[in-house]
Amino acid sequence: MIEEKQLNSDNKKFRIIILGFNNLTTAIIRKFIEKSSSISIICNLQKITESNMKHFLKEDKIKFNQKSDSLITDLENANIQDTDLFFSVTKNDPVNLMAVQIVQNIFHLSKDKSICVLNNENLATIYSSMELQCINTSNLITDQILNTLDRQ
Amino acid sequence: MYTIILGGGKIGYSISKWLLSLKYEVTIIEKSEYKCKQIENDLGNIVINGDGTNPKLLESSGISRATNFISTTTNDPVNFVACQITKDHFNLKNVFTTINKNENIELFKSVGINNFLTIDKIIADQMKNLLYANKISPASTLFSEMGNLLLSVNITAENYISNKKISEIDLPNESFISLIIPVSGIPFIPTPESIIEPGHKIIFVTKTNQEQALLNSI
Repeated sequence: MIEEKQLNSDNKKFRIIILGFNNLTTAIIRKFIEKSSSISIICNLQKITESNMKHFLKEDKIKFNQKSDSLITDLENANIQDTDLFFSVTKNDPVNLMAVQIVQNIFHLSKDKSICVLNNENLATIYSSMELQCINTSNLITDQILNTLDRQ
Repeated sequence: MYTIILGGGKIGYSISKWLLSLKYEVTIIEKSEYKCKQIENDLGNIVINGDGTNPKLLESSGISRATNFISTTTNDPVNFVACQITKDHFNLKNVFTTINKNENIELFKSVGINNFLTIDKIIADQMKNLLYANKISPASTLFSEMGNLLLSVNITAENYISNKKISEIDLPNESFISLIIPVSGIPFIPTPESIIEPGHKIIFVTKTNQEQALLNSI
């Protein structure tokens, strides 16, 4: 029987891992910083400007991990076994899809706590129907517009 | 038989060339425009330039009527996603892939992608062949060097030769049955009186240019 990871019940704060560093990463950090006990970001550190990183380095709970060519090793190094939430937000759809399924199928984080971003809306539709938590910005915006129109 | 091959590198190119030589229909999906032009010059108009993980592109390549899908890129995430959507969304059973990093094998298996070859294994097998080149050669290598082919066929009731005596079977020139492996797993050399039965695995010897004719005759 697969044991699903439970949220850190002692302090009710999340331990989060984010794969990829971009605007979405910073948005997620801002949203979750108060609710989290630690946020690990796996990314290519050479591509991040110092000014970008400086702001986050002030926060003790944020850690940067250098990305290697092995997703499994990177996730292990970021302590995926003890993580409550995983976000894969790189610009590369296949990498996001593979990462989120490694987290679910190899490290047994539950489906509702591992989320990926997909740029291709057709891929997002297909994987949503396969019960993978994926977010596509075009679909999100369209849904938002439809909701707004519905309310009027 | 229609085969779609993802990746026009050395592996994808070689498989395509082989399938085309057997008169099968092949399409290669390749991301690099430069490689596409090279393949087109060598093998003709069989290449689509684009991203093989794009469902729309797979659709336009004719995935719905394909018999086989073979992913051969050096990028495991691309192989993984392309095979997964081909198998689970387009419902194609014959999905094959290369896996470049052994650590990813468990993930591919976890989603039911079980027909794979790892680059390590391919290289190790080739190394073994090289090491034994002057001593012992695997029979299949020796055969292919002489223009021969060993074919293993699982016989079902639908096969024309099912329930027939060897003496009644008409095979193409230079083709014959070398071995019968029954369900018990104990192989025997057939006699003219031996009867081919459903469940038998038959090892045929034929010429490389006779493969299709042999398959048609059985």
